[in-house]
Amino acid sequence: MLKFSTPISDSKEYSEIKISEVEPIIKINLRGKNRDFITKIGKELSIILPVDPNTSSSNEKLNLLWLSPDEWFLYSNDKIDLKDTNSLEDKLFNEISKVKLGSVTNVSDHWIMINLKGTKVYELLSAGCPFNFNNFKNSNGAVTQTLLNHIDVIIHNKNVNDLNLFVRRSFSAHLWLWMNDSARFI
Amino acid sequence: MFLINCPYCGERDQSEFSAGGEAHIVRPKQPTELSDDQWAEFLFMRKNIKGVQFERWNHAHGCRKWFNMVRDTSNDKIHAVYKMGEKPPIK
Amino acid sequence: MVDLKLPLESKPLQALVSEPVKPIIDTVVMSNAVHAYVSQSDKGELVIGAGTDAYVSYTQRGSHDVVEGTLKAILELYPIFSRMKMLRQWGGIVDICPDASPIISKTHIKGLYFNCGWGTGGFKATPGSGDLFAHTIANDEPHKLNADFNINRFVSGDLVDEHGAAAVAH
Repeated sequence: MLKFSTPISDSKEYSEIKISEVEPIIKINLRGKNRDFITKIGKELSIILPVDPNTSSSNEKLNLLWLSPDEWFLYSNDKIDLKDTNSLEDKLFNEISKVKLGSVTNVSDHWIMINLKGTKVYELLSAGCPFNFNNFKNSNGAVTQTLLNHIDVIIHNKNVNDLNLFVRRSFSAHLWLWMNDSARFI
Repeated sequence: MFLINCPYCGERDQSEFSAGGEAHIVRPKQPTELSDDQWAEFLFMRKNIKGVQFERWNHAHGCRKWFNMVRDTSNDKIHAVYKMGEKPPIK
Repeated sequence: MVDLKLPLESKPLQALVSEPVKPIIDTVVMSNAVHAYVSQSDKGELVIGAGTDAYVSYTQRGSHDVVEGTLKAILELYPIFSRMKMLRQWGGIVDICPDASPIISKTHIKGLYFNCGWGTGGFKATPGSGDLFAHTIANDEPHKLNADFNINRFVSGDLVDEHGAAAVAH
């Protein structure tokens, strides 16, 4: 993990919407295709790799999101100790990348996680998003990749009206401004 | 402005996708033996059909997978979506 | 009929018009930096030019995200327009060359000439291109100004890559 610095470091509250950056957390991109990869990940993380589109699986520490038929996104629930950021990556790297089962990439610095809470979060998202949240909002664990204000995002439905949104670091300050601006009109 | 049924993610708005142009254009097997005219044909000449067209799309802001699609360019109605490497389901 | 293929694709190019307001801009405003194009008509409507869709279509409507992106750019320049209502929007089908430059050219068929592929541009170039096209037909040879815009460039590889140079302003 690189020297971690965030462009946001903020938390804002509006009527029935609370948005806050949650960092630092660990994020790892996983790619693989064969059955051995899938079982190995399950064994190493004690989570079953979600193979159904737009779903996720979690345990008390980690979340594993489906991104595409051969790509997954792993992130931690809790903030991490910046002195010990590599242990999970090293473990997966040795068990997967080294033996050519798949690839493991630490993307902790690449993505910024923003938590959105409140009964009006979907109204905020729908202000700048082409995705239809009708089914998404009622299914815990649902995952989607889409655009928000023309910016790529990954959205994880963690709980009822409780979302984690991932945005690329270089876009995150801009998206943060847009979210705060849009929240005023809701 | 239309919805596309991504073969991996399901129905999504067209703005999540990027268009990859006409599908099933075979890359020359022996590029070095091609004449300039043949190269121009391969690179630039497209059918540009008003009607049912076979084309490639990429779910750029979703799963980032390429796939094929049959769309009527006169009304943007999508007749079929099929994965790369698969045979077109309609003629 | 003449067995000649053109390297063109047809895509919708959009424009939109706002409700009429009192005079606010007296010129055509273009910004290559944010990709905006706006002027005000004598009736007071803002006339806004948007971009093309990336896919072939003959539907004459165009997609919503292109409009969204255009208005975003306009608001970047003029936040004062943010509560303005748009009255109508339409898409015209434009023919685009692979290098986004036009073809003003004679062909290998005697008496057949082309002035096409103008894509998103052309309005302000119409008189000039007409002049050059007339010259090309009258002499059966291109003028030196349109010699590079010949139809054969897609075979020879001498493409006219001015898309980035022109951007919005053409």
